[in-house]
Amino acid sequence: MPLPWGGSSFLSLALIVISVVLMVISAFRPQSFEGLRTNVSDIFSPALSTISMPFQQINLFLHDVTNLAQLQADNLRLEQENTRLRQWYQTALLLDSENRSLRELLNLEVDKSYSHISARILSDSGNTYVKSMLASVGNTNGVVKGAAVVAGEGLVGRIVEVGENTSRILLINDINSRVPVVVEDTGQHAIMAGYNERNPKLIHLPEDSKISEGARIITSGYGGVYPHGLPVGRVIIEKNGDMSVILFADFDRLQIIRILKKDQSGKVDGGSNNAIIP
Amino acid sequence: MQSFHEYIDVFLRLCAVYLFLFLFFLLNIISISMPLSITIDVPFVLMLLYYWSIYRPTLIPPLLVFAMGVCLDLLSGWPLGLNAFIFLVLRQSVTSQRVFLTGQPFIVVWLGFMVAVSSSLFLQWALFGLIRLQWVSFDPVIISIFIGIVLFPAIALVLHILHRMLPEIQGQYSAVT
Repeated sequence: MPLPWGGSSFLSLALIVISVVLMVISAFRPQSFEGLRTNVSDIFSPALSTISMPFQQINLFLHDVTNLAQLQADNLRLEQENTRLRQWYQTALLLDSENRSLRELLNLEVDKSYSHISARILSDSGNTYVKSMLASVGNTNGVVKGAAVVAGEGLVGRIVEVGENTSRILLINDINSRVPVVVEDTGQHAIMAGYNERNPKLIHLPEDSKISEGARIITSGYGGVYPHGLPVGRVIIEKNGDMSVILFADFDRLQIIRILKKDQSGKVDGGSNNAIIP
Repeated sequence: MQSFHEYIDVFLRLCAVYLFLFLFFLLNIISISMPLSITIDVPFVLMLLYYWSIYRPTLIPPLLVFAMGVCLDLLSGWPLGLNAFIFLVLRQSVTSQRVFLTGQPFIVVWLGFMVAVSSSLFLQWALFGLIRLQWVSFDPVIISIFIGIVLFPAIALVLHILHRMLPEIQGQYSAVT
């Protein structure tokens, strides 16, 4: 009697069963296939990098074109801001010297034990369900799992898988991302949770918390994954009252990132590894 | 009996088909960002699987479909086995209907793709939710389904050209005339 699935039905059925078994293992022990994932990423990274390049350029071009109308207004605003910042710079220099003398007075330890590794984004392999990116550095460059990733503007995410020459970054807007943050002006602590949407949300806020729109969000350093004080974004209040964060990092334009590396010796690596790893 | 250069000819034609498959597999991995940070997942692999399952299932044996699904899962951070399962189910469902679909005009094949891509992406969304116990928004899935349906005729045209390049196989029914 012919099977309902045609000629190669037994093999197909067997493979479907294997797929289901793999899914069940993924559900209960998601870390089981980490090694395999990183090995496959290492193998495919040259092809992915090549095929991603034109799309990255198109993305940059589209981004620039769509923002052309805003450029004039931005330019005017930036000129005014620049004048203001020059005044602030003088103030900052004064405050810095004051701060240094006060620190000496208090004998305060500042965490300077992070250096960084610069890397290129090989491909944006994120999708509707998983927001992640593949970076061009791995074990051989000293990248470790859990390291925080920043771009010029702010926090990007953390390393979740490390291969020999590639590593996967889980972006802070991924549904699995939870970042302990603090509102800079009020000192209010919160958790910033990703929902696979553009802007993550602030959760676990007390009911009486008074956070104003536009307030700057930085990492609190709780949990030890992210160092304290990394800029994250600005608060916006949604129509339904939820507080979301407009991220400083622009994932559309991301090409080069920095992976923070805790210096185990405790020495400050002042120069850092500034060479961009291709 | 085929001469050596005929073998080479067939081999190169098959290479073109598999190169195209590999290219679209890679395109399926990288997401295409649009202005306003909208990420579009174009279901390229589903289009190819659907087309070849109707017109030339021997090109995509179950083992290859399984390997493609597993690689996609590994590279894109999906739960392992999810895409392999979806691809195999799609292949088998479409293959079982190919006797009907091969003789139909393109509009019917296209309608069939609408059903196939909608159910596959819905299943993908539901299984992801069940495995991760997190329900992501369904809106991007609707966009993916829509884009897949809109792009299918163009992709099918390219695949049709590739199909015509391939030699006829004895005992296989083909819609290519």
